[in-house]
Amino acid sequence: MSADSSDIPAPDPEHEPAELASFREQWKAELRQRRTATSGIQTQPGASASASTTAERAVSPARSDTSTKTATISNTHPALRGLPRPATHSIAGAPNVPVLASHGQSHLSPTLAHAVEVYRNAVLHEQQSQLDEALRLYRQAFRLDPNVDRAYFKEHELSAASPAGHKKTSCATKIESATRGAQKLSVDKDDKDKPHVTSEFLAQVIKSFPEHLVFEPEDEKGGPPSVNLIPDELLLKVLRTLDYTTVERFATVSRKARMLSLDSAIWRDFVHLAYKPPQIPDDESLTDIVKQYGSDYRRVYVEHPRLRLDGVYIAVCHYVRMGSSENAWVNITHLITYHRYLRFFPNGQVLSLLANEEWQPQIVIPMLKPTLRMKGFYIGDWSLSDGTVYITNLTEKHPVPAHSTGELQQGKYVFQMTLALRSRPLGRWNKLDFIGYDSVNVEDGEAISLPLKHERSFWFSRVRSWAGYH
Amino acid sequence: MVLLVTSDNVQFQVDKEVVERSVLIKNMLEDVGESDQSIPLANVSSSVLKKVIEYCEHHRGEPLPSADADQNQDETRKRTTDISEWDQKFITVDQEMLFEIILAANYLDIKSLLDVGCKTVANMIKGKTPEEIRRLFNIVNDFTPEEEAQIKKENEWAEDR
Repeated sequence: MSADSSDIPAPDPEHEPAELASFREQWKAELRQRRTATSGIQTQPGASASASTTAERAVSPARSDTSTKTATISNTHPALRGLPRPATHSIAGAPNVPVLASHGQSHLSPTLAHAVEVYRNAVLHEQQSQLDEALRLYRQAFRLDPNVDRAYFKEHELSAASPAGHKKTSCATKIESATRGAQKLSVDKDDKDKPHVTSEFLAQVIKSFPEHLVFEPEDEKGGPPSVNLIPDELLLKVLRTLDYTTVERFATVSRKARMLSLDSAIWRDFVHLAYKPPQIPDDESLTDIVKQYGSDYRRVYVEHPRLRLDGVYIAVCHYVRMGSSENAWVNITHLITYHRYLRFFPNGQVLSLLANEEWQPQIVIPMLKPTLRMKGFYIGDWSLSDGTVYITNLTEKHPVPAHSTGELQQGKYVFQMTLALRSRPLGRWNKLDFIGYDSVNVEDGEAISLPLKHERSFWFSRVRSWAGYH
Repeated sequence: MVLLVTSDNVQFQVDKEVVERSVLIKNMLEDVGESDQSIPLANVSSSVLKKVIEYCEHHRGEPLPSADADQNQDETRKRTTDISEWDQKFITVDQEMLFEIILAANYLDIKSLLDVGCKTVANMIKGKTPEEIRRLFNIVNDFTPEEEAQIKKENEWAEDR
């Protein structure tokens, strides 16, 4: 949490507008109350996070992701800019978390509340058939907060159902469990971060679809679309030959298209193609993984970590090197740029290349094959487990010098990398963050960590001609 | 020679070897044995059957895919949508005919023709925006704006940016 407190500037209290001062007082009061509260927090997507503020200190490493996010949000909200530095670090996250229900106020953050308001307005316009305006408002709402629809539905549900009752109790339990310790909390957080929302959310949307869907014609004169001639099973056969991007794009064509493309046969194909060792540990069964996602194959494919094999991960790194100068008054520094490339193969082989800026990606990418021989080119093994990529046995493949006859002598060292596989901001499994980088002495197996100072995250780029695999 | 009668009552005299590319007809002939009786195809019109016979004539003598081989190749072949040049020319027909051929190939159980049809439709969809797909098939966007926004957001994961 240390990072966000420094992000908020501390203005001179004397020049502070009265409005802000009162806002702060109110806020502090809420905070005090929340700390002492043992019950009464409304159920909200962020509820367990808010409850956990008391346990913050104990779990800061596990929560680093969440805290960065809250920091960004609090910074973007205009009303909060220029607020005094929070008294304790736990306040920084507060704007994004729900306040007490007993206050009778909105339990949403100001941004989210505003977004929900815009969203509600959009729904209203839609009901009045003012579609253009509705669409504009929906877009605005989503821009304000990408989770606005969920919040809206939640609020809708809350106002529909009795506001009091068992929900609060369950939340109170959550607080207790959160304060019990870091271990427990990280479990709670996992539950929240790997939500059932993908399918739940989608289920919510498709619930309103009529039961018997057909493709309706855009142009009545053209008669019914001829695609209606073939039964669903044949259309499914077509969809099963498509890649997942095309399937999901097709899904946005119409209601019927969305329903069809949810068929588990499509997603079972993708899952069976993708999730086998080394994408999953040898001792983990796919059946168990599928069970974790409620046997929803689409959810498995969307949410379960897998390395992308249809492209290359590239990291652009820089460092400054001091140059030598004849003039004592002039310092020469060089900004050195280099690229790291990782290409993974389904058979567990990985190619790693370290190339300087003379080798631009458009030249390097077509060369990235196991047969490549050049300085800085390594071949190793990879495996993925729980979102962590283990690359071992990276052995350099030198170019064979013209005068040499046989195989070159093996190097004394091999390398290994540990990387975290992530999805952001859009797309899936498109980022790799360095966790560790070691050199390993071939003779005694001793591993020595290498500094990661200059290393940057890898970002995924799809390579069209490599897409054969999915 | 085998006599086929279409839904619109047109008769086709076809070589046994050609017509047996249809697993349905092949099985029928095996069940019935040698006979001069005509085979009624109540689900296939003459214009479609003409195309289907053209396809079978061209591919006569080629080995029929066995059910087993299909299972094994399924994974590797699934995501490739290559169609041979002759087949491509053959399947360049209007949309209604294309879907009629797919339907007939499915009914008559002519696996390779069914594949060509499905791959053709798949290739038509590939690389197109949802709006282009709607125009292509004359499909109306029946989402409410709210639904559309939600569905789009839900599908963002599949896009690389």
